[in-house]
Amino acid sequence: MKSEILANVVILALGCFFLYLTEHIKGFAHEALGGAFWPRMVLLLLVGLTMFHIIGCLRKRDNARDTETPSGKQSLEMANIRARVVPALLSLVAYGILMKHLGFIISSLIFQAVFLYILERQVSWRNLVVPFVLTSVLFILFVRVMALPLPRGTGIFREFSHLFY
Amino acid sequence: MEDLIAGLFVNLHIENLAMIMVGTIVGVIFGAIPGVGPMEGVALLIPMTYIMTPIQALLFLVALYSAGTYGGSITAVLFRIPGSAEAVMTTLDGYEMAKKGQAGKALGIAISSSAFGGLFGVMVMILLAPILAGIALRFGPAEYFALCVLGLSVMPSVGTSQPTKAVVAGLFGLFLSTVGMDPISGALRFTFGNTALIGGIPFISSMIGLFAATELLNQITTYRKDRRETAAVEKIRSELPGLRELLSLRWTLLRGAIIGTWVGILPGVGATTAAIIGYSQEVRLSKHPERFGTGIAEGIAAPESANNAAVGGAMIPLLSLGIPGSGTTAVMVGAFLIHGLRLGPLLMVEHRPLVYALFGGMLLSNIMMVVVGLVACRYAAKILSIPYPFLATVIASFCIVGSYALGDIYGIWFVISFAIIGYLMGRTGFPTAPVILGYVLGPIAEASFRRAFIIAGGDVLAIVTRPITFVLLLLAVLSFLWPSIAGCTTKRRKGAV
Repeated sequence: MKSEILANVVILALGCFFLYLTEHIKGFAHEALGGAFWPRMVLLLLVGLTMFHIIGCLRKRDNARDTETPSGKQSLEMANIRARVVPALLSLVAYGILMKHLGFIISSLIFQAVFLYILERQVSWRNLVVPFVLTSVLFILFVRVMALPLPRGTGIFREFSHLFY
Repeated sequence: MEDLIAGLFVNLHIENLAMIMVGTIVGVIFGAIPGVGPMEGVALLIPMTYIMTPIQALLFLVALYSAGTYGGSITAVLFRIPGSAEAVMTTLDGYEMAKKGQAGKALGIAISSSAFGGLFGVMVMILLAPILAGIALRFGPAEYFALCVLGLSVMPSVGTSQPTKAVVAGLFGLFLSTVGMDPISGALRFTFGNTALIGGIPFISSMIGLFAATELLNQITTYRKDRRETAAVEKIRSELPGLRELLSLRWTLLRGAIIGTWVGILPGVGATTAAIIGYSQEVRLSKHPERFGTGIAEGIAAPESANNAAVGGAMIPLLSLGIPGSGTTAVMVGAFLIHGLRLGPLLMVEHRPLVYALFGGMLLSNIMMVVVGLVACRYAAKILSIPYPFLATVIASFCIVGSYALGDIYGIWFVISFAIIGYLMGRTGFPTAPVILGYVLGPIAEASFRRAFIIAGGDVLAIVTRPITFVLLLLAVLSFLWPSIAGCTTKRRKGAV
């Protein structure tokens, strides 16, 4: 319930912020409605409905008994969020950043090895073999078959990528 | 009829048959791979058709279009990744059905529904092309707006039993669709000076993030090393639904096919919109709308029938008037031009045998799609038996590389951002399905309303009192209020008892 109320408050705040920004959307002289009309209407509905929902949530919270003791499942989820979800997200972000600089092949090998380790929490021969196989499959599919221009990286990494594509 | 039979005989030449088969196989693959779909496949492979005869080239491309529209459902069902935009609604019930250990059944329903819808759309195209094209031209901005409102009216019922949260999610989707350049005035909205946002938030990248990547994070959240991976995936293979099951879905399939064909005929809207409206109307007409999103057959049959029917529908204005009915048919105009075919009302007169060969080819490609789909699903389903850490790595890699495939260098950031948004929405009980409704239908609704407003000189009454618009808006209001009316009626009956 707390997280629900917090989420609604965040939506309300963002809604009000973007509603304020609609004041700065330039209109077209010959059109009565203008570019701000539709987003303003949508955001007004969003803000109104969110306020209504917050009031509903607060009433439910007052009427409900407090059962805040986390279950075993919730404890597992919180542990996984700290140990796996957050590192997995950070590794995705790092993959996105590194791909531009290291190129598709090297960044993919590193990302896949790290991602596997985050999930399995152990190092085995599979953690080294699987990235090579998967990167090869992706390379053949996207670069060779579909001729898509995946990043080559910069400097020495670009030279390395040129050996392949 | 003689023309159609002659067209079918043309397709039985070995080279033409081979082109239909190759196009079908390539289409299923393109459809299944996240980040590319039938439109990208057609665009990428048009140059390859230089070396072909006109009939071979067009048979190859329409087969690719049909099969690609279906192909996205494979990854949608197995991995919750819409392989193409057209399959985005199939993820809602398809993946849930797969989670229950019924992936084979879900894939079978998807194939059958796609084939049914595709064949229906082609038959309508053959029989009624010029008449329907004429009627479609009577749909103006007001009617487009009303159609979108009808599609949006089922927001309260989609993906959750809490209507308020569903509507908030839908409004969020509507808001997302306003980011970028205003289509009427050209004003920039909510771009914060960022060039990446001028074109709006890219649809496929955001959907990959909102669905596939979010589900990845959800699975990681509940992951246990000692969890048995094979419990729900033993002996998965596509099973075509039996006659009894198909008969139980007959009205769903027919409604989806009719809606899909009609939406496909309308210029500017394609199979994705058809799938969304097909799904939303099925929710509206269902006695148990709360079951949608939990893994029911109707939730797969409706969008798949609609999206493949839209393929035939989109070809109607293209072949009879020279107006592309969808993005993919717009790309196919290039193929016609390359091969010296002038599109327009005279195409049917000057190249009648070719047009009927195309009709026959589309019929054959929908049948071949079932065979290719069954084979593809058998191998794709085996992937589910891979231990989850490896499967998750594959999915994560496809999500990121797939976003690059769209040619958008910022795509990867949209995938990650929407993965976080989708994950937080899931943790706080907000459904993600209504976001798609708002995101896809929002731009059409906005642009249509503002155009209608300009045409009507600011008179809103003149917009809503147009006959077709009025009927569609009335249906939308009833659809939106029906859950509340039904709820009050049930409470009164219980009170009386």
